[in-house]
Amino acid sequence: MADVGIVGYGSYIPRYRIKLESIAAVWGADAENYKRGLQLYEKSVPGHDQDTITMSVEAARRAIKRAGITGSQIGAAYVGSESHPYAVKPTGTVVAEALGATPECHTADFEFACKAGTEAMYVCYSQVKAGVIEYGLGVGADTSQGAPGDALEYSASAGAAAFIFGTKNILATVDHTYAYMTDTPDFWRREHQYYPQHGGRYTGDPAYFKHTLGAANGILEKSGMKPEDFDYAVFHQPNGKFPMEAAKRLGFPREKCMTGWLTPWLGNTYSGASPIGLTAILDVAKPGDRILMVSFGSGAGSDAFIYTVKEPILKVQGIAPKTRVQLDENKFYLDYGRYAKFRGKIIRNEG
Amino acid sequence: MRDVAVIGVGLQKWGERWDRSLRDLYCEAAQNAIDDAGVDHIDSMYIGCMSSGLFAAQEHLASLMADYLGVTPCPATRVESACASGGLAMRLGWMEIASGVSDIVLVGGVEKMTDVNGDEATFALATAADTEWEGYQGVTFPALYAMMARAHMEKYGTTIEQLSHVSVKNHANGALNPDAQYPFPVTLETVMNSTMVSDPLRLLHCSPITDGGAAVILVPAELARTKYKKRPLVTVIGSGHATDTLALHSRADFTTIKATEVAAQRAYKMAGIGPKEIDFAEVHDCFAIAEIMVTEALGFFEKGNGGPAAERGETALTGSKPINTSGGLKSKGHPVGATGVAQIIEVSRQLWGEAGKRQLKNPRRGLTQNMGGSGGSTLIHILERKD
Amino acid sequence: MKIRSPRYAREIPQRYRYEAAKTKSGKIFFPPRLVYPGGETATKHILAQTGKVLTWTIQSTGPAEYADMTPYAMAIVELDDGARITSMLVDVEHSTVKTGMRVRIEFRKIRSEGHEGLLCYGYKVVPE
Repeated sequence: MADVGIVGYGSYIPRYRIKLESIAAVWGADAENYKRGLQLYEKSVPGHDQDTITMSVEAARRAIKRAGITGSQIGAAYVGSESHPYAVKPTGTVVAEALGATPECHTADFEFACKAGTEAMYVCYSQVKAGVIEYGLGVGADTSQGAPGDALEYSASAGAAAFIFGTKNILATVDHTYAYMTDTPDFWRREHQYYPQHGGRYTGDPAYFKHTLGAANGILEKSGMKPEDFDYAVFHQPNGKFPMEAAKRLGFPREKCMTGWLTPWLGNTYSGASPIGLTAILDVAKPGDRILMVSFGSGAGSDAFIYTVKEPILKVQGIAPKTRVQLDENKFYLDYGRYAKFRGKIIRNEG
Repeated sequence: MRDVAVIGVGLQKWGERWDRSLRDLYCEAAQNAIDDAGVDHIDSMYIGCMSSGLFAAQEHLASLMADYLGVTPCPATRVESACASGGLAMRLGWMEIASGVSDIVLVGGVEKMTDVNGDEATFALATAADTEWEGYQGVTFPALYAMMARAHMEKYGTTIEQLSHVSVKNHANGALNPDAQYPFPVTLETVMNSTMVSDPLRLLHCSPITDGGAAVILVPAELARTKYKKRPLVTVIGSGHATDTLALHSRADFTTIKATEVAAQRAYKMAGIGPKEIDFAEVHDCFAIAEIMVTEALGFFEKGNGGPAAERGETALTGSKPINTSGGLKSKGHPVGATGVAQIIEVSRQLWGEAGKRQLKNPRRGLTQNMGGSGGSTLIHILERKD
Repeated sequence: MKIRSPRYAREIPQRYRYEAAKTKSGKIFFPPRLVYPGGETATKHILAQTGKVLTWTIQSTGPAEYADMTPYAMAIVELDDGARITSMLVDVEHSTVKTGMRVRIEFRKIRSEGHEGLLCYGYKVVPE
């Protein structure tokens, strides 16, 4: 059977940022404590005119550019997010329409807390592997919400990553996949509620670590590979601390995780978190590099992927904006007032 | 074609007229014009109105106004060309008499703009731009004229002081007009420090939201000579009408109002005169930059000289080419559908010698220029006193 | 006035994909038309997605649906194929906006029809 892999990738990070200090100041909290505890310094904020749909479109356009295909060649468009702009009406149709993928295109919106992005990738990859479609688009994107004053408010951020899967001109083959899930009530948001609820410290060992490590160990066992076989690893990163702790417990040295470890400056992009981390790795990876990717979504579960980078990547890394450049350059810092306005936390009259 | 004369005019105090409805504003101005002219009937009537639907949820103005003026079954026609609706009503009334179809025509215009809130008024006015390709993007009218102003400033060196002089001059004129909405002078400093609306345009570079009506009575010149002769004979010697693209971005040059240039050429040709033979003009100063661009388009000043001319006082009451002796849209107010008709009223009054404290010394020819949207339509009329 | 589904859907090819038309003589029309000046015929053309600012303003006020964005920059942009659009210019320090500055199109939310209605998307420009 022909190799299946990533043939195009792209990320989108909004230009707005807020520093942890600006949030802590409003709630009378100790910023240093949060920075230490979360290993997080600032986070991205979507502009008033940005949402999961707009960021998905931009990330997908970059992925299409790197893939060197046209939108009409995309046979499936899957978007994973916990912040789909409509409760009822697909994100995927807007994205597919903007890319010119309609009407001969299958689309679905995925939702599984922070794992929805890799779910979209997982299904996309499987569709291509099954020969149902030639090219498929999987996107992870979120404009995450954290309740004002809650610990989540310090991390919930915005970003998107898009991947095109196919069989020709592969940038990185998908060598193995593995999924691991249980019913774990660590984090949820009920219908019609603005902000999620979470189980505090219960989100750690019984949730994040159990599933992230479960999936990682599962795929290592399935593939017969060990941490030393990898050049890079990227884990779901709800804060700066958890992914590095997971790496440590798995036996991955810190330096193999640094490239995809974006949360300290990006915040938690939820469905975009490990996917955006993967784009940062692909931006700098060399042919032959091996990458382990493990996502995590509350509720709870993890998807794991092993990729091997291929020669064609060298030609496309520079033709669309790199993730680290978007993260580090041209930033606009917001004060809490503008941040609250941008995030729709201030209720105005409608007219 | 018959010569057409203006024999009577009517309006009311303009402003926020909480006590007057849409129909009140029109009928009051219309009855004042009928009384002023001394006619005992009208053969036909026109109503220039931009957006009674959005401002007052009322269409079918032809019948409404004929009914409330008590003249049914008189033919009545409502016309619309955004802010040039009044000018268009004038042209159609003029054509109806010139062609011999009617003898006594009431030409009126009206807009009731304060029965909606500011957002709703902004929306209604914005429909004069291209709703799909300008309005949808978030552009407002101040923004469109601000973009023209910036282009003019960058191309010709027009300054914000020059724009501000237009407002100062129009308020100085309006202070002498008891019908004006804002009949008081403003200083250059006040204009230049007023609230920023759309950079570089500030609040006092913009015309206001106004309730108002205006009406004139037109008859064949021959009838004016024989029957309605209480005033000097004032006739329409030129009429020009032109359109341009609706969207500003579709125009080759943002610093020129081409519809005004073309309409002016047509009116001048009909009148057999040029801009030098015009003694004064009422022009569409919806924004200060518009007056500068229009005075250039009319050929009063070279391209790029409209600003310096305003600054030098050439367009003041005492200048060589007085512009907007009424106070213009800026001070007199801008009830959009009525504006074009009110321009005819001011020019007629000046030519009759009935302009009160702002009376020019023995003017002979006056021009009106009424514009829709960002310049998508223009109506021009040239009136002359026949001694 | 709220934008309803039929009107919104009709313009999707232009708002999302920048579909324009080019006449035989090379003039670009955006949006495409049913009738072209001089009876010319035209074929589909996708607008260039980069260009330069021809003129601009900073709007202190905007229509109600755009009030949350104020103050915002508005520009007339000449795209690299010569077509022109009016567009909000976002993600920019207002003090750096200049005539002639290079911009590119991004997909953005243009307006929301209240809390219940459509979310309306389209193009804005950002510094290139």
